[in-house]
Amino acid sequence: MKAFKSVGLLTICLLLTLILSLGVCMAAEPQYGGTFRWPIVQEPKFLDPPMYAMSSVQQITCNLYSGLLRFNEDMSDVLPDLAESWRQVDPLTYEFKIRKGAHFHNIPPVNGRECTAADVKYSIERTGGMYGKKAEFKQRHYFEGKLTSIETPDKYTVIFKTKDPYPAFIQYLASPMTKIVPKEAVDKFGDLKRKAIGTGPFILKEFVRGSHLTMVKNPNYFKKGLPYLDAIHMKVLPDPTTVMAQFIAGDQDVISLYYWQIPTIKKEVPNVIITKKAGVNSWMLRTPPQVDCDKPLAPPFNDIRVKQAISHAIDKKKLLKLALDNHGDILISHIANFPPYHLGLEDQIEYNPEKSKKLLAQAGYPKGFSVEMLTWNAPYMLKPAQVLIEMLKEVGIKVNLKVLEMAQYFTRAYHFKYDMALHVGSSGIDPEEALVPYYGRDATYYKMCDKEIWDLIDQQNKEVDKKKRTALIHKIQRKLLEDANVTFLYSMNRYVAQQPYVHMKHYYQEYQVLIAEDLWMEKH
Amino acid sequence: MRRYIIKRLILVLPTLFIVFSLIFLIIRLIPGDVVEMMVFEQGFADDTEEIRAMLGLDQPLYKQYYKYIKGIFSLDLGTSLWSGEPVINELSRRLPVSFQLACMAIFWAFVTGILFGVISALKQDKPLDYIVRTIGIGGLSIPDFWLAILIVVFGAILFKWVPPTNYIPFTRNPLGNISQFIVPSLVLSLYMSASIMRMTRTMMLEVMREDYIRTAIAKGLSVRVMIIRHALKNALIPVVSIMGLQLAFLIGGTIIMEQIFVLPGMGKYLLNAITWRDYPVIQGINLFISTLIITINLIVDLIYGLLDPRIRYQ
Repeated sequence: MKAFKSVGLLTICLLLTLILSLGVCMAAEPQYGGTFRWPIVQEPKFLDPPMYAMSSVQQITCNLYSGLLRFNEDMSDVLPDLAESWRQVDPLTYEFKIRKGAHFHNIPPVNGRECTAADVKYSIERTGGMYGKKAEFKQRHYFEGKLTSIETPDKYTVIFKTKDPYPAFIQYLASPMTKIVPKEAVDKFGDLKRKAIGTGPFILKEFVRGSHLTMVKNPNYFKKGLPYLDAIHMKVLPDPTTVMAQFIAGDQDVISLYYWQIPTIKKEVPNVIITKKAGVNSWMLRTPPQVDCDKPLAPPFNDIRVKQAISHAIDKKKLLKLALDNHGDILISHIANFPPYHLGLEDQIEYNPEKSKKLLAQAGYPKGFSVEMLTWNAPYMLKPAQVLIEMLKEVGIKVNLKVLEMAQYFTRAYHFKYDMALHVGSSGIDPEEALVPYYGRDATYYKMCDKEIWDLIDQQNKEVDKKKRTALIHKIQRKLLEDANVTFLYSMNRYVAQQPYVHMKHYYQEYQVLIAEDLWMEKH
Repeated sequence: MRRYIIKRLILVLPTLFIVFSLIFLIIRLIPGDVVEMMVFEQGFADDTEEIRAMLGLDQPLYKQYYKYIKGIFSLDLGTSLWSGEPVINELSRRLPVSFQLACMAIFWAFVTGILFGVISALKQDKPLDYIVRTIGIGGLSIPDFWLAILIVVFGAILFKWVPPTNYIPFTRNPLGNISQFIVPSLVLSLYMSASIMRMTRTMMLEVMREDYIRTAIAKGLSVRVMIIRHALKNALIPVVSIMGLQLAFLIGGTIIMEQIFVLPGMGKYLLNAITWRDYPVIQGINLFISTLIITINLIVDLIYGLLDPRIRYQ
């Protein structure tokens, strides 16, 4: 009898599982049509992909343009986009085969012609600052001075030859700032700041500054059967409260949100789907930059023990709790948490106020010292600043907080006029983008004089063997931690709320944001 | 009178010149640099001087000033440093939005303020008077940005409704356009309406005690005619002057309303321009606003001169 009951129960369970699975399968059948409503929180200054690394620009351009390659959702790998295949012929040569039948949008002067190897050559050269005003192409370091030639032996083949072994090359080709654009459009409009003609899944229909932007389905998109949507409508909604209210009222399908909005959204929108993505911005506490290597830093920062004392005085766990209510990840170093380049937890600087006090005493500051800390007037900066002040006070370091308006802060920061600064830095597509401009030989965002680190950075820039390069990058990070010029604090999580009828992939919001080619909605 | 008009007109010219020069100088004296905002942790950012040259910001200040003044005379306000869009184009697109918002707010303020002010004066020390005065105090005390946020949030939470935010031009759909502006203009008008209400009430009470009003009532004039033709006309002179003073507050208020209710007006444009140090845009908008205020003040002065001969300078 018992056995019979068990078999019966098992049969019911199996049937239920089958029914549920069928339900899921049926629900997961993509539907065509609908206008996807998705706000832009910061008005894009312009729409030219390589000119400005701003998530609100990429939110648009990643749906209007295609690149040769693109990243997968968690940035751990690159995927083909306009490229059908690619191979590294030798340490300096890369060969790409372009898809046949990928057409630009049917808009004059391009009129829907096919995208070819010549367009790829032109776009990469343009991104590298070869056409137009060089300084406008902020991401030109991707290719400027790095390539010896770009050959197009036939309509669908592109061969890149790099000057030196270039490990970041593939990453940069997949960057959301590296998109393929038609030359005749640039020639006609002067740039692509206000116009957009690409090969992407959507076509720009209307861009009313300060109000909204509309894209419509590209009927000739090279990926057959995509996109599912008829259109995307983006309102410019800079006020986070308005964004949340619109989502609650059902006027938006997907929004980015701050962690403090999560409880309200969950309460007001039944079945809302909230997705967490790790942030790739790094909150960091800097000590004075050393601009002139022949001129040592002024006391107390001329002593490495003082900098190390600051590192040991900060309880990152507590800081994350108090400043972000744990909606973030503790950082070990400047490199974002993309495998394999980030460091493991074993490298984390330990919180040890006693050790900190001891180091200060050894450096000749048993009673601590006073110092000014600079930051800018945003809540996401002021909260951690206040916590840090208290933590440093515990070891005897009295911090006077100087809060500046954002533009003022950056003027001071870029002229290296501060003793301590609470700052947010970007990790970039490749570790090189964090290492070179912050800690390299010709760094522009921070200055330090450490020949060993400079040499290691130069070395990893030419190391194509991934294992060897990873080891070098780990070594650089450990050296940076030891020098303690900068204390890396945390990164803030990013959240996306989607209505329950939206089916989508989730990308890092600082980069590709969301490519809506395969997004679909059950209700429209 | 002619001499007075000529004097006032002559005085406007140096005022405008001083204002234009101050606009140019002040925004350049604010710490912070557009080029540094542009590099903003992008790329390897080793080309700040190149960007500066590209934008013409490497020129000596006097050369930039000369270009700016020359531009004013040829109605060329330059192009946005960020978008490359001519400022005049942006202004012509955004100005009607802010203008409509301000006009509708003035309309609501004028209608509600005068109406409730008169009612309050006529029902002095009655319950209705207390209710209206309490609402008036509330209108003066409640910050408009807070009220706007409340409307947006509670509208969404309680009724799953938010004010329409997709900008509809008046020419495309007049009804849709006006319905979009009703809520922000009402919120914006609140402070002004309360001020007008209180001023109207005070002035009405004062005028109602005048001998000529008592005479008019004794002669059997109807209350309606007495109020509209005699009392209100005289009571409104100071009300009109405080409306002029409120104009500057109104411009400040439109910035916040445009931000919360997502209207593509001049206020939001100016706010962004200040944050991003877009000099030509800041100059263009301030130029327009200051010219407008100076012109309105000139018109008010001329009307005063016309209404009250004592004001004219001999």
